[in-house]
Amino acid sequence: MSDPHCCIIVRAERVDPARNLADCASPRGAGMFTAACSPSGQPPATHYISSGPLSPQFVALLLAGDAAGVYAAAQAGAAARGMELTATLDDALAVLAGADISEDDPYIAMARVGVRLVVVDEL
Amino acid sequence: MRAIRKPINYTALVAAIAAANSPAQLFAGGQPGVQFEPWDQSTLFQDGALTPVTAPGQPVGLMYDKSKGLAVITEAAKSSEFATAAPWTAVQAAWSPGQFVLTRVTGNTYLAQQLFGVPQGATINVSITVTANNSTTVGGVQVVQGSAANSAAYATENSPSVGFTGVWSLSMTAGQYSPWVTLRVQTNNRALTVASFHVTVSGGFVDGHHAYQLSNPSRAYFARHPMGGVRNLLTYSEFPNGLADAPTRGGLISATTMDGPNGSTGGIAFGHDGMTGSFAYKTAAVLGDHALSVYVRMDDGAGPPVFGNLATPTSGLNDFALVIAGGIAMANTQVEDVGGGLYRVRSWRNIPSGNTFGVVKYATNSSRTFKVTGYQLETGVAATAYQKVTTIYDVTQAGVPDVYGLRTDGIDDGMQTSPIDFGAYDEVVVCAGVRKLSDASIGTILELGTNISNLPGTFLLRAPQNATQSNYGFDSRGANTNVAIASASGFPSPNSAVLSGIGKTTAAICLLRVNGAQVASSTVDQGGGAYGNFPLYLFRRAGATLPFNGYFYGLTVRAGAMDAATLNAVERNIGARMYQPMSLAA
Repeated sequence: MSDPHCCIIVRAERVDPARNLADCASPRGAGMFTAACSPSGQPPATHYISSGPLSPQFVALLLAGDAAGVYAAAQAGAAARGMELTATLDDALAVLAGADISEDDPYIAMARVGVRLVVVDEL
Repeated sequence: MRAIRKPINYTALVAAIAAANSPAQLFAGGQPGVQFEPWDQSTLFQDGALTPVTAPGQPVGLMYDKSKGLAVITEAAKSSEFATAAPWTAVQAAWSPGQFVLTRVTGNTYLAQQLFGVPQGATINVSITVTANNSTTVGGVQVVQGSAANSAAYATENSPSVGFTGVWSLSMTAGQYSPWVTLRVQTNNRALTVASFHVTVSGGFVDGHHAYQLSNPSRAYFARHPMGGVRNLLTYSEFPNGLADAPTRGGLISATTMDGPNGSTGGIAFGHDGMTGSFAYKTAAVLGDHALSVYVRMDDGAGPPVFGNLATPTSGLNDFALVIAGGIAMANTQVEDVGGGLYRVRSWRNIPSGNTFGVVKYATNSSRTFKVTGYQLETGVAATAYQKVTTIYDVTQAGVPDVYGLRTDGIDDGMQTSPIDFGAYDEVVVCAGVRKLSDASIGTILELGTNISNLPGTFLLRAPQNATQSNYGFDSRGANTNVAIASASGFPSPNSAVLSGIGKTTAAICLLRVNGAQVASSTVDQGGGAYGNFPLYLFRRAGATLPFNGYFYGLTVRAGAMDAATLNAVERNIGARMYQPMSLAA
């Protein structure tokens, strides 16, 4: 059974603790929330999105809005792999409170939140 | 006199193309490069622990490079006893034949070996010969595995700690898929000589610059779709998960099985009691002209469904209605008898708003009950041949060949290889098969290095080259700050194409070919020099920005000149997997 799809959009001001929580929770959570979004599609980013397969246990925690569970998973992962968990439980609560978490297609989720990918036209 | 032409021997033609495109011939000169063929499921893995990809809809965390023929080798270190300085990455270390002398001044001092990818969980066996050069120093050495040279993110082992000298052997477990193993000097050991550094891995290494993605959500999915692309905008079109596949539903409905367009399949049974309205809707965010169609089997077997008053969907002269959100009836309903008591009901209208579509049976409709399956919503007014959609990654159509590849989401999917050393070459040829699904943002198919603007000796391939443009582009840069750009418009999404780029830094050559025909070129002076030694990033710039939204069917990158016949064979090999019409010009 493949990992379930999950789409998470977090507010830009919460992206650092969100990245730290994901990174600590699982080696497969590294590198999340790198795609910037904003209502106009222009910088600065107001949100960051991550969309794709995640472990069933983590998806269940996210969809349930279980910030304590997410934080506990990050604590356990950080301890097991000698990583620094800089985010706090309050951070986890704030990240999830301001996040849009669903099993939807990312474009449907972005439309719901009212943001688009930040488009950069660079060489 | 009429010329007599021999019939084309397709078997021989395919064999000839395959032979010309085989790693044994294409990379026979030892040229650096990669060859990815995601239609070959044996080269795809869900993660760094080599969990196989067995079906569409599974994520791809690792894609083997076939340019080295998938040869299994047991000793990855190409210069384990330092006959040459290459391919080691050394910091504060001086090479001489047979040894590296590591002298710590400040910061990290290390000797890093780039391997060909160590699977997660594999046993890494290391044997090192070390001499401490200063008897007054203490401390030993450390072997680490991580995501880059000198990274200890995944595994660490320490030698004995006091002025270590001798042969040190150890085994460590790879904490994650990674191409890097590093020997580094511990804090207090300031000078030592390393005479050998052997690394082997349980099961051996599969040779090649494999593409990987360690972050779960950033993995593309293995996908299949019918030749010609996906038209059905709905998912779970045959209700494999029962009522859950009708997210908006109510009334006298139940999950059922029925003989549908593809044999036995799931469906929704509609009942009737004269008091309860029933509905089963799916969701899609669309505007404009769209056609909706469903397959219906009437329970009474008494002929096709009847629509006696299309102007009034609730009329008792109708068996049911096709609607969009808010009970707005689709217009122009037609019924097609597809045989065996199965009917396809088609309808269309201009969608002003709303995003739920499906079948409704009003309490006031006729008393006939029925089963439905095979929902299809598509752009335009015509209901075309039915496509079975399980997920967006698994779409099939009866009688139409399947096309296999990777589906990237245009959000955060991407992969990268370990660094590929093009340093002996000023010329490169890339050839990729893709289906571009959006022109909204720049789409990176590949880029050597993190950013062509900042790095000399790099190249990239994009779909599209520019935001909001319907173009493709190949860019090449030598020693100059100038970047040669060959881009061509006229390929609005969705568009499938075999794209080839040819770059030569010393001759101001930068060419783009689409489906075997040259469409753009640039003669900008690239400044000469060789291409660099960088990772190849797929689907995102530096794994961070400019994501590609579409399908990826295959890629060959090879350094050095390539004759026209060979390039044509490479293009046709990828095009054949996509059923892509190609130019016959070589």
